[in-house]
Amino acid sequence: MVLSTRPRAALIVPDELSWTVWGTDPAERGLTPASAPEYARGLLVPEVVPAALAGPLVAALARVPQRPLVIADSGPNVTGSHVAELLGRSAQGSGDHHDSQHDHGDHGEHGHDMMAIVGDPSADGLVMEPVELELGPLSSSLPGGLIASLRLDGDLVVSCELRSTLVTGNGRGAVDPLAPVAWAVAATVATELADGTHPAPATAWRRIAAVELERAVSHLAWLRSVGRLLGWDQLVACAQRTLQPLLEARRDAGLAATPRGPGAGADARDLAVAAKRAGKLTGLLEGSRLAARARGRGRLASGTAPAGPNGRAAGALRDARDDDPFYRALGFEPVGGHEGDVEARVLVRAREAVASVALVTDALARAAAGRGWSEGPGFASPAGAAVEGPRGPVLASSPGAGAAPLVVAPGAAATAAAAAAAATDQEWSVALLTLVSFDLSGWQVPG
Amino acid sequence: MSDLTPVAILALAAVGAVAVACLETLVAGLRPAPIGATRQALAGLREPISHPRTYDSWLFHLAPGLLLVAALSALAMVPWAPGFRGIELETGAILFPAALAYVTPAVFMAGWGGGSPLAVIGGFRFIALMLGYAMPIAMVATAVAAPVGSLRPAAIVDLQGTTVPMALAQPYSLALWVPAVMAVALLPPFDVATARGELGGGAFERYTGLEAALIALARRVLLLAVAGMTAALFLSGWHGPWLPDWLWMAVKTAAVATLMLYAGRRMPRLEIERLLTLAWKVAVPGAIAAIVLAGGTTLLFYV
Repeated sequence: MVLSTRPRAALIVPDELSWTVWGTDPAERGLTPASAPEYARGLLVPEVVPAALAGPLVAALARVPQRPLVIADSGPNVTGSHVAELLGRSAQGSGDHHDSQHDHGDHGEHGHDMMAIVGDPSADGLVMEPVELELGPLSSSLPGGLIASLRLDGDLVVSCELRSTLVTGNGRGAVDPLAPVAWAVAATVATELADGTHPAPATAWRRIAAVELERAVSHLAWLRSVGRLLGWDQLVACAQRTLQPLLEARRDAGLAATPRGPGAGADARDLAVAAKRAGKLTGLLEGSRLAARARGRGRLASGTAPAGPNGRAAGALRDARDDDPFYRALGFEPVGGHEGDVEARVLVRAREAVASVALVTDALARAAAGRGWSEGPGFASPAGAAVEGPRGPVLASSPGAGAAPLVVAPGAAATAAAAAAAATDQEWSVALLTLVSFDLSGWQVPG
Repeated sequence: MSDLTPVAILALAAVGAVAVACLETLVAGLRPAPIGATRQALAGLREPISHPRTYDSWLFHLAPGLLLVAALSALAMVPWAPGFRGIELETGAILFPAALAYVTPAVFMAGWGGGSPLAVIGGFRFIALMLGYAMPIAMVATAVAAPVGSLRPAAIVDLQGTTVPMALAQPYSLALWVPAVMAVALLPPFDVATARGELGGGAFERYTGLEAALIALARRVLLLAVAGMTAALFLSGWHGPWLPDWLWMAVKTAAVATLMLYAGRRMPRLEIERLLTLAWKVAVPGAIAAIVLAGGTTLLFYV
């Protein structure tokens, strides 16, 4: 067994999952997310930091105890501040940050007399002083950019509101940086449908491979973050081991959002290794250890059925891939659950990751063989293009030739509302696990 | 106890903390780097005390020191080898849980003094946890002392050398002891007070520099102490064939520490409600039953 060196805890902007989806897994750089800026010894940051995260980043840097190792890399195509400027602002402010630190803290302050016990009794009959807490937008268990405003009664969350500081991705030519491939494919297909053109068969299969590979990478990176939240190192390590060959295959096939490899073609061995490891990971999650922590927790309210994997985990087997002729040819079957709780959401994503790796393998084999399909274009729907992204359907329609297609993720706001509702009236750790279990995108939650 | 014993205990704490740091990395599948770990620890101890805005500065800054004192006191109770233990008292087996009891105010002071909501929650969680788990530790210590008729840890070790290890004679006591001391030592999956994932570090969230280094040192000394006492009370301590006494104790302590660290990696952190339920519905009644069973075993086999 080859042992690696201890990873460096780092402030990762916006978060670990985003970088993994973009093709730069922080673990490959020897970085692991610091749970609070105080523990950070490194900084992984896009060269252009989204404008909404600039202020929180400067505030977080004021809490980093020593000058961190800074790794700036290309991130999503967004407007914002250049990282060098923000580091300069942080350095200027470091002289007096002892007085100002925590003023913008992610975890809030009680900052007042906690012994003053006034107000209405709680559900357990005790009169407690409520505590207001704001989690995010950086260095929390939530996706970067997302802020959870919570009201605590003891350690019970009595109210929860979610909002995002990032620009909502819906719109003309929009791309969600947490699912760039799905959004780009939806826009491309919508344009082709408007123009009346069809892609070559190999291109169509490679699109499916790219979308499914993005889904597998996103789900596995998310499972790794769930493992970190639960303090379950075995899950973190299993997810990490499964991600490695997938990211290799993604680079080799030139299917990453930001391709870096030679594009020499997917390595089938990497995919085979990933499939085996994903199966083991699912086996681990199907055992009693996850059930003890997640079964029956964070159940969706009755009548609530958000789109995407969260809905499928509650028994609503809606999937944009159901009616796609290409997916039918691949033998696609939607993965679902029944309980709508945290365990079901975790298991659905783990099983979808397994299914996605199989779909990628098959689709790339068909692309290499040049096998076509004659039943119609892929990713088409009556309203335009429909791609099932990692967090639900992405719909695109083009008003006509030459115009940028309108791309939307219907249901993202409803999912955020369902997450907030499910987290309310839960003990703190259950509430946080519930919020994380919905795998929200900070770019899709309304501001 | 000689004049040099306190120095020896401090040296054991320093060397043991580095060894525990190496075990942590090894169990995590990483390459141990004892020199790097020592350098890092020394660098941390040379860092200045930071002064973040806290709710109660006195409590906040006193907590790391109290935690280290509690850990060192517990370490001093452990019989490491014939003639080598920090504090040799007739009631040492009970004083060990008493020393561990000071971990509770230290963690609460850190959380309350730090003042952020998550740090305060961490502090309160630890108090709730220790109310449930402190009693089983003391009661189990009494149960393993029953066959000896003495609360002196070295006497408990010596009896196991001539009979069987308490892990075989009282496996139920071991099953109660291990989770309880893991909870005191802030080890996963019982680290609900200092959870990095859900509390961002909890009670220890705001410490940096020297104080963070002291806390890291104290936590490793705590693990060393509870692993050492487990080896002494349940695994015959220094008794064993071929190897020198001190080496047997070191091997057993390392094995217990490794198993504790390994177990923490293999399961998700337990919920505080489940932990408290286990404490009050399983551990406390189980510890009472362990005393009764130990009495019966003593009458049948040891008298």
